[in-house]
Parts: sequence; structure tokens; C-alpha cells
Amino acid sequence: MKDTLLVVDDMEINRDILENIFSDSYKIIKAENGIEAIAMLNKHKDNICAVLLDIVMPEMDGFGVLDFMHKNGIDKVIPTVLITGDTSNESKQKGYSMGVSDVIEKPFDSQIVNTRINNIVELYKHKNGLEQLVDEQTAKIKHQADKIRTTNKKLWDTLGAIVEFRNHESGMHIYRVREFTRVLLEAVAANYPEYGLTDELIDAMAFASVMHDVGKINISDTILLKPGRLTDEEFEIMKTHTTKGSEIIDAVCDTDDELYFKFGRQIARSHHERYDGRGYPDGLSGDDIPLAAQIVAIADVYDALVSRRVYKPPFTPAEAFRMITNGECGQFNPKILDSLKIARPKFEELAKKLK
Amino acid sequence: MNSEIISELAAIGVDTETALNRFMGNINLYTKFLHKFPADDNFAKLKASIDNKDKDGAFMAAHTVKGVAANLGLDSFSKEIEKLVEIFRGVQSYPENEDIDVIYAMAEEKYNEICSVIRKYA
Repeated sequence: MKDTLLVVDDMEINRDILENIFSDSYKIIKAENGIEAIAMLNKHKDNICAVLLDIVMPEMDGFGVLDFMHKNGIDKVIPTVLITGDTSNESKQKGYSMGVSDVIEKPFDSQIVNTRINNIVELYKHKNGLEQLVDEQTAKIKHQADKIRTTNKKLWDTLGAIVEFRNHESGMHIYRVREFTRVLLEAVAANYPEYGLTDELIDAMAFASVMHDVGKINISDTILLKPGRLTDEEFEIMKTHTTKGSEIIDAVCDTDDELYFKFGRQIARSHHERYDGRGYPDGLSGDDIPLAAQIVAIADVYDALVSRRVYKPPFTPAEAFRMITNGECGQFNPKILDSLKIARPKFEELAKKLK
Repeated sequence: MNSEIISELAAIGVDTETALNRFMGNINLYTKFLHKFPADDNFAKLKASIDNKDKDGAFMAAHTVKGVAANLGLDSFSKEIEKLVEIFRGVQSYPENEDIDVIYAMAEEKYNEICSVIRKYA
């Protein structure tokens, strides 16, 4: 309960006058010098609603008390009013610069002191209440933002899995691609700092990788599930899953306030581009292809190779590694291929674990 | 009794109205501190500090006396003391200022006048 005024003055008459003014409205505690005042502050700071402070005192003066309050952060929650006979502008300015709320000159008018102190106490009560409210609200908003992020992730996972189920796959492909993506990104981050990959970016890219084939929702069953080889015309339609994918993400996520929206769009659209510019849909080459899409492209191919498909048996991890690095499965960024070599043991471990 | 001392002090120029207001109209508290005024040794300390050319002691004593006197409405006296406070404020060495003795003498005259009234009611 903040209901106590600390009156600090070396003169009994000053302490008694102030006590006489405020004893109806507040509990009064009194100190005769700065040292006593600090002891009182330490003991009663949770109950003190304002400090009325003299400047010129023996042992320790008012500025010493202000200094103590500032160093201990007490001045943020307890206002101080200087009540002083020292009417020089210099000490008033010094007081204000040390954070006092008001300066009242002695001899003072009791009614005016009464009103000014009450106003300051009310103001701080309000301010302290508001600050607490802001802290509570901030914690609440952060909690809700975390919840929204978790929900979004689940939504994206679900969307990715739905597309895969249409493909008559197990729904595990997207999770394996996500893990391969993460491992490969960590290797790139460790060996090529020029890409500026942070943990936050790696998280967002790996998370966004589940959307790489979301555009397949728009491809008809006759093409998507065709057991044999696609005709040129059918393949042209199949290729549109990239542009459709980025359109779907655009439609679902109309803002860029989350990194994974941006990466999801890049990955869906550009994961079939080739480093030599012969991929689709935009024919991008080199590092014009967004890094996230380059990484997911390798993770996607690697998983396709080591998995059983209706048209092929699974390749061993060693075969898959060789086929990617020797260019049988398309052209990739040499730096990322180097990173794949470094990450090879982890890839093979994952391939085994995720089977 | 308490109201008599106040009206006699008012007659010699003490601003009892403002002072009483400062004590929230509490006559007993006001007179309690009026009676303490002659007993307070800070005015004597001021004299001793001046005699010993102790600038810091003089400043502290003058500052204290001024505060008490101003609170009690002893304006003519506190205005003289205030001049001494300003002379001694922040000086590096004891000021060679012949006004000090003159001002002190003026203050002492007021002091004696006020104290003689207060002592009558002790």
C-alpha cells in the first residue's frame, strides 16, 4: 500500500510543519539527514508514495539521496519534491537534472504544497499503474503472437501434407525435405558466411519448404497420377505447379510480415530453376535464384532419389549423392554442392532415420 | 495566552498571518516553535563562526537560522540573515567583507526584539 510520505529535513520545525500538513492524508515517516533517508527508503520503499527532500543537510545532503535513488532505480517509481531554502537557480536546475518532480521554495504556502504534492502522488500512481498495464499487455500480445505462429505452422504443414496425399504419397516427403533443407542450410551457413544465414532465417526457410509443391493441388489427377511418362503437353501443365504455388501463397498470405511467407513464395515458384538458367518457370540462373529455392531443390531431388516411387526403386544414399554431385539431376550452385559434401554424413544419417 | 503572543509579535512586524497559515491554522504548533526559537543555538553558532572566520560553519548556521525564521514569519530578521547566506554561499575562502559585521548587528537587533517578546510568554 503506497500511502507513506518520507519527509527529509534536518530542521525539526520543517519536518513538523510538513507532518502537520499531510498527517490527515498520509502516513508520515521522517529522516534528519541523507543517511537516515536512505535507510528509510531501503526499509519502506514499497509503501512510500513520495519523498519531500531538503537539500542542505549534515551527514549527507539531498543530492546524495537523489543520487542513491537514481542508481537504484527508485526514482522511476517514487517521485521526489525538493523543499528547499536554497533558492538559487543553480541548485534548482541541478535538482531537476537529477530527476526531481518539483521544487518548492521555503518558506512555503501550506495549501500550495499540499496541492502540489497530492497532484504528483496521483500522477505517479497513474503512471505506475499504466506501466504495469503495458507490461501485462505486452506479455499477452507476445503470447498470442507465439500462438498465431504455431497455428500458422500447423496450417502450412497441413496444406503441404494434403497436396502430398493427393499424390498418393505418405505425407512424409515434405517432412523429410524440411529436415534435409535444414541440414544443408546449416552447412551453407557454417562455410559460406557471405549468405548471411542466421538461425532465424534457417528456421523460416526450413519451415517454408513444406510449401514447395503446394501448386500441385491445381494439377488434374490424370496428369498428377499418370503412371507412365508425361507427354510434352502434359509436362507443360505439370510445370505450372510452380507459378500456381506462388499464386496460392500470395492469395493466402497477403502480407510480408512473416519471413516464411516470403520464403514460401520463393520456394514454391523457383524450386525447379537450374543454376545454368535452363530451369522453369522463369529461367533464372546463378544466384538470381533465391537461396531458399536452390536449397530446397537439392533437398527435394535427394529425397526423391532415396525414396521408392511407382516408377523406380530407391537409390542408396551413396548413389543419390553421386548422381546429384556429378550433374545427372541438374545443375546446382557449386557452393551448395560443396556444402552438401560437408553435410553428407548428416544426410545419410537422416535418410536412414526418416525411412 | 497563545493568541496574545501572536498579536504582540504581529504588532512588531512579524507576519503571523502567513506563518499561521503555514501551520494550517494550528496555533499551538506555531507557538510551540516560537518558544523553541530563542532556545535554538544556531544564531549563536553563526556569531561564533563569524568570529572564527569559519565560512562553512557560518553558511550552515545562517542557512538554518534563515529557514526557521522564515517559517515562523520573522521576515525582517530572516531577510538580514538571507544576506549573510548569500555572502557565504559557495565561497572558496572567508570573504573580506565589512558588511558582514554591519548586517550581523542589524540581525542581532531584530533577534533581541523578537526574543524579548517570546520570552515574556515562556
